[in-house]
Amino acid sequence: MRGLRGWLLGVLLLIAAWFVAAATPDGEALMTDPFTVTAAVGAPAVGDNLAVNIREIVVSDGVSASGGWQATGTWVVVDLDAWTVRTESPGRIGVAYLVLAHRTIAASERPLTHDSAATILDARLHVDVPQKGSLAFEIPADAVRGTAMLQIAQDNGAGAGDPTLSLEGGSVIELPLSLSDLPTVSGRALTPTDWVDP
Amino acid sequence: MPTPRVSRFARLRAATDRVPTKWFATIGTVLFLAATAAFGGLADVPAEAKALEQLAAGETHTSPQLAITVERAVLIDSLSGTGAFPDDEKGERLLVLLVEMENLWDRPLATFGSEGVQRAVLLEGDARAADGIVREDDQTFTPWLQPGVPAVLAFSWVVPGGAYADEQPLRVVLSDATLYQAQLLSSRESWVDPAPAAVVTIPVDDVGAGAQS
Repeated sequence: MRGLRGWLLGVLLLIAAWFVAAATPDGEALMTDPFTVTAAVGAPAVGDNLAVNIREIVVSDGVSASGGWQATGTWVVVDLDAWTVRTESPGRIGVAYLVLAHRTIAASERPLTHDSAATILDARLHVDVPQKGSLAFEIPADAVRGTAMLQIAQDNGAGAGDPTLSLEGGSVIELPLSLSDLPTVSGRALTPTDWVDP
Repeated sequence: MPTPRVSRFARLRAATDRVPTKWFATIGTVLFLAATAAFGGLADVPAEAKALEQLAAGETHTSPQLAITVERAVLIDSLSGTGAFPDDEKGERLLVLLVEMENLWDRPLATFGSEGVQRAVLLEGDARAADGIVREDDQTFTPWLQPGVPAVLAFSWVVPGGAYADEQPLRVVLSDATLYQAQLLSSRESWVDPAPAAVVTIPVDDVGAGAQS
């Protein structure tokens, strides 16, 4: 009798273990997956250290920036306020992406060629003291359709080249967009990075 | 009289002593050479001579990673904003290639660094990557190539004064990289092992001192 009970208990435990294994999320990926914070236009979105308030998003034919930089082409310009929550080192928007249907565009470093305050990318942010600025994405002319995802994150040191790496291990502030619904303007001037007017 | 009892170990030893161990090295070597010969021998397997695509200025070479069009080759004393600095006391000059590049991959590509595309455009007979890579329009130094957004880049090399001459046909080697996906501990993808795929023949335009700006 005792032998039978032992076997039954063993089988029960195995079945219980199967349920535990089935209920366990696929661990490997989740260890490094970023956690997402969904933003809305005009409302603060707070990540683990980075916080933004996205003010306006437009599609612009050609852009210009402080320092005299300008460029032709199709751009998505995001005006936002940004600050940090816990620490200023690191405290910056290190990477920002616009994820299109089949392509991922990184926020352009081109405006920064003439003036490091031309976009808020890589600008030093401060705890609880917002600064305003812009992010600019240079996109293919035929890409202004369908949906896209705006992603904003601190830099984890991996560089902008590989989104799967550079977003690992931190928060990502995300905003889903419908590109064809965005206002279309021409020659938009980027907001130079500066303190928000009180 | 019974024969003296011999231990199994001693018998084994007696047996192995009769094996010509000195031949082992020879047998091993012969086996190795035979196996090697079966796979093509010790001589280098001649790389499959792939005919390089022959292009002229303005013609586009396309790989899964990039579309590359070499538009112009200019020889100039010096040019600011190129990221390359010829020493005129040594008689050095600058060879500048204007190259239109389009990133055909699905995410940004760096133009310089360990995974940059700088090795995609080289001068024939010169293993050096360009000394400076900038955008032609706004001089952004080693810019990112956003997917699907073509950009004209200036690849600049510092060259000895007499190395190139006006009107001389210049041969530019374009290389294709291979997409590599890491298998262990990571699934990151990168473009590696650039191999020559096309040659662009383009006349050099010597503009002398160039416009000083």
